[in-house]
Amino acid sequence: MKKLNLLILKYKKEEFNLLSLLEETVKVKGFLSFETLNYISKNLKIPLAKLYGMASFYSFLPTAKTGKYVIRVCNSPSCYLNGSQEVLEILKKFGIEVGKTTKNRKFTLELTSCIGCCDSPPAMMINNKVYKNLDKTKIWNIIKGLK
Amino acid sequence: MQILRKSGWAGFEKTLKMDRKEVIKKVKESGLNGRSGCNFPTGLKWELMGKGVRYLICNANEGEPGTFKDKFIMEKNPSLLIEGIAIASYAMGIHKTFIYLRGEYSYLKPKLERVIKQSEEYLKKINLKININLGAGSYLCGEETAIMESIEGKRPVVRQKPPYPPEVGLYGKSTCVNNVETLANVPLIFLGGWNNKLELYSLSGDLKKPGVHEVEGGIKLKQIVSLAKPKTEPKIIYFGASGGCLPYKKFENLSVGYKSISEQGCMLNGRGLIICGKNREIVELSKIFTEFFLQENCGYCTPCREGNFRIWELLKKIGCRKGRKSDLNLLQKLAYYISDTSYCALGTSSTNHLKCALKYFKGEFLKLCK
Amino acid sequence: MNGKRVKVKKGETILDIAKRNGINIPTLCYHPDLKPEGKCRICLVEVNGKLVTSCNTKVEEKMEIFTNTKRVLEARRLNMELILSNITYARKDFELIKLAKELGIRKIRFKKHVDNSKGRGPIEIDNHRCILCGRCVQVCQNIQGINNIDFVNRGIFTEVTTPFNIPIKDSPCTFCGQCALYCPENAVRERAFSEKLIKYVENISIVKDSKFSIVQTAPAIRASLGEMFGAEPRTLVTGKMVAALRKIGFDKVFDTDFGADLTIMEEANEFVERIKKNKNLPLLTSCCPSWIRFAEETYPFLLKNISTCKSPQQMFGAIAKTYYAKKIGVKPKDLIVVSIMPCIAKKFEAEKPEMESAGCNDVDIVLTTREIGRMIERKKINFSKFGDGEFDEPLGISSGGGAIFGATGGVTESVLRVIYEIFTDKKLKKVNFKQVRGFEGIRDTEIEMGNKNIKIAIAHGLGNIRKLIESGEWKKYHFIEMMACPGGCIGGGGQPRPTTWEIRKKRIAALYEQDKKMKIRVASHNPAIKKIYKEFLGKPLGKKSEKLLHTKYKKRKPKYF
Repeated sequence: MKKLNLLILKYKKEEFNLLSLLEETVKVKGFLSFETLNYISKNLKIPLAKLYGMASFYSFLPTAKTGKYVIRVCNSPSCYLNGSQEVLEILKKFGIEVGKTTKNRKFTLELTSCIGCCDSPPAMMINNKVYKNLDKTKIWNIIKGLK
Repeated sequence: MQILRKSGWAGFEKTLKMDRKEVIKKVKESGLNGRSGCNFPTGLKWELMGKGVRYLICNANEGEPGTFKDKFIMEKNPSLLIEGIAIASYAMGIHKTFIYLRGEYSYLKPKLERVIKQSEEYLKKINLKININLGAGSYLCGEETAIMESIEGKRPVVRQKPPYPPEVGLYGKSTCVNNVETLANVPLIFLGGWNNKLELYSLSGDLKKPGVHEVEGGIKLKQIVSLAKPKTEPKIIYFGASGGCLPYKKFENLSVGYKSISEQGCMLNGRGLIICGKNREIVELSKIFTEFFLQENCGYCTPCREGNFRIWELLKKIGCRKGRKSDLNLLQKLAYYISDTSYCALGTSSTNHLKCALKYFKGEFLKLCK
Repeated sequence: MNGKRVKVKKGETILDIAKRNGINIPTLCYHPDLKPEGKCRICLVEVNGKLVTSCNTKVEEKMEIFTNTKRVLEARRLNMELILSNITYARKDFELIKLAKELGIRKIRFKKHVDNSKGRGPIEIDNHRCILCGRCVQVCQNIQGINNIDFVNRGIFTEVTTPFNIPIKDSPCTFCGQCALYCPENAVRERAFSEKLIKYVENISIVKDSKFSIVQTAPAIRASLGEMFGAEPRTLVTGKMVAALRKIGFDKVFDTDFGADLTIMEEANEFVERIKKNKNLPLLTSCCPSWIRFAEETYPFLLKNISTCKSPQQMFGAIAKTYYAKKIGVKPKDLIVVSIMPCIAKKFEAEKPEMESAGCNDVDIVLTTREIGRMIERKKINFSKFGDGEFDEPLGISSGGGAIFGATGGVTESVLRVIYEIFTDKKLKKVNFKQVRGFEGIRDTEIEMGNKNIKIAIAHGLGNIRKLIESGEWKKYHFIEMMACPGGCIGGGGQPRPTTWEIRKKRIAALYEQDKKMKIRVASHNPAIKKIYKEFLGKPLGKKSEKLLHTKYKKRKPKYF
């Protein structure tokens, strides 16, 4: 809560805009829960419906609980041509499936549009870090490293 | 590469000695056009700005699949971009600039912030503040008015035009939106020895050496593609997701330029080329591109929201060899009318790829239909 | 335009000039009261070789507009097909289906894909039918200023809903129902009170049991029910309505105007009392349940100012279950009170636990104008060819004061008629208080009564109410009429669609006409009212009326906020 208050204060001082506020909140809280958004809405006098409508638009602002690591695999053409489907299959072997969170709440897997790594495909993002030129051993190492 | 030249704020120092109007005049004379896709003359854009409080937005929401030249510039030569922003702000009398950086590039933010901090002494001279705004994963936010809605904290739905951004833009004020590559080229104009024709092309797909290449505009398609060493003989060239596609064989001698590509019914959006090798199935590819628009459209207007979904359905059906010829007709009609009746540029360009595919590869579609 | 030269004014849209020149352009998401957004892409026209939406494109010089080329027609038809492909089929009288016919759509080549509906609270949003035209969102946000619903998600997953999908009954929604009124497709709608009860009402003539059923009709219904059967918005259908209700099988057909007269008596006397004591002024009216919910949630500091009178519907219910039930010798439980209202919030009001005066709900079933209209249609009653019926006695006798309750300013006017006689002790000669009539969102006036100047304000539309309260202006008046729906009950959330400002004005005119024709214009002259005070209630604000006709308000918090 303290951190959230700090962020709201920063917003009021116009250090950043609403979108950044929500992004920072996601960093602190993990996702935008009803309580969090309601708290922000009360403090800033912005209707909750508008806030929720906006947050739900963006793919990087989850409004439901996610795993500790959110994996976003690029499925845009360039990565698709270079084996993004295989990446998904390898992840499946770890029990990580598209659109789902693993039971231990560690991983959530989503598909995302182009993340600008077409020069080193296939690519994925885990939280805000980008991993490029993926192959079997690389993915193994990454996932193992996160455990 | 020209774009990697270090200017070291020499261009900016030069402009400070000039009058504002002179700066704009010089940019106009240089023939610099917007590098994001619509090719609008940059000098003219700056001239159209209104009075009172004004804003500049640097559009770094490079979401077009197969385009990564802006990332390349921001990674390799960020100070040139900041200098370009400073010159543009000086020329238009702007004191607040926003860099709208897409959420996927958030790892570039610290780097840019560092550069801004290092160049503080120059920015102070013209009393300029640069804000970096992170996007949160939306292709639509690459549209100029959608960026404004996003910065203002609303659902990023494209505004109706007119009024255009120079009249009513961010927070209702006159606003100029420029692409990263455009702004990065500005200091070079004043340095001297700048070649207007050198443009960045992002090449990706079935290639051995994908990457960004600087190419003189007007050279042949064949030459550009050979730079990236295709794995197999290319079959189809996609110009990003929204730009449409061309069969490589037929057009390998086409000289690549904004005009010549438009004449073929395509668009050179962001100069990102996705090269597909000879084993690729056109129906499969069309489905992948449609999936992209399914993920990224805003849901505001009917044709784009529902239509693209229906296209996806039909493509899936045809892909499983369950389609009929009537489905193909329907597909063609949908592709035509979605681009004809949609609300914003995303919608109108969302079926370009399919229109071209049906134009050049209809045989392959027919083969899969009953 | 279409090859003809047309003169235009600056700032007009293509649709405007087409209408003026008698050219028909089909529209869907466009609504005259709202800002055109160009979402549905049905109103397309061809301008200089390009297709644009006519609702939000301003005309310019040298535009060549074609409204009927093959390209235009085909594009319209395809978009319509795309819209239709995704919804559950609706009844033929909704705007959408009419439009589909007009466009000549025969077959839909796509299957529907949306699969979720949310039915909670007096209002429900049905995503099976939603076409995302955005009218409801605009009304909720811009006109009513409640901001309870918005678009959520993007692309094919876009839907209209409350934040986090919380049930509407637990959200700050006031149930004004304007969203439902503006919906072209019955996707946002009143909840059918409960299927069982609706069935009961429908089969009332068949179910022979010990139960005795009476029905009351709100003042605003008679001016609008005809519209559902093709009548012009200005027609009054009082007689036909009564006859139809009798045909459905209600034992007695009564008039809420009677309840309204009672409300006026109580409220006027309460007002006089407050003026005398100079306490809790201004007096805020309490007839509108949506406004009451709004105040209880948002402005609890106003609660002491709100009149303690129940709304006409509830007064009627209370009287019916006590006085009338006793008179005809039926147990209150066996007396079924059905009310027909132009309002969705009334459903919520009738279910409130404090609205019980005889051990059970005062009003058992509330139906909206639309619901009763559909019921009449389903029963194949030929409404337009009906003869005139008359209300039953005694709860069907009313004054002109009760009749104009449905219009904005109507409550004020009828209260003024009564208090004039109390303040001045003279008989009222000029019955019409034209100063309080009108259509502006907030209007005020001053009226001399004896030696007193009474300052009056009238606000309709929740957005205007909010403006009036938050500006602090409300403090300087003596009497403020608050109505949640623009135009008063005449534009209520349960009224027939479509409702536009033009139609509202016509309905209001119809009500004033009815008032003009009435013999009794002032509520206190109503013989039935005089009788009930003599026989049963005693006097206004007396012990019995305090118990039956007044209520208390308390601060309320939506469950989740």
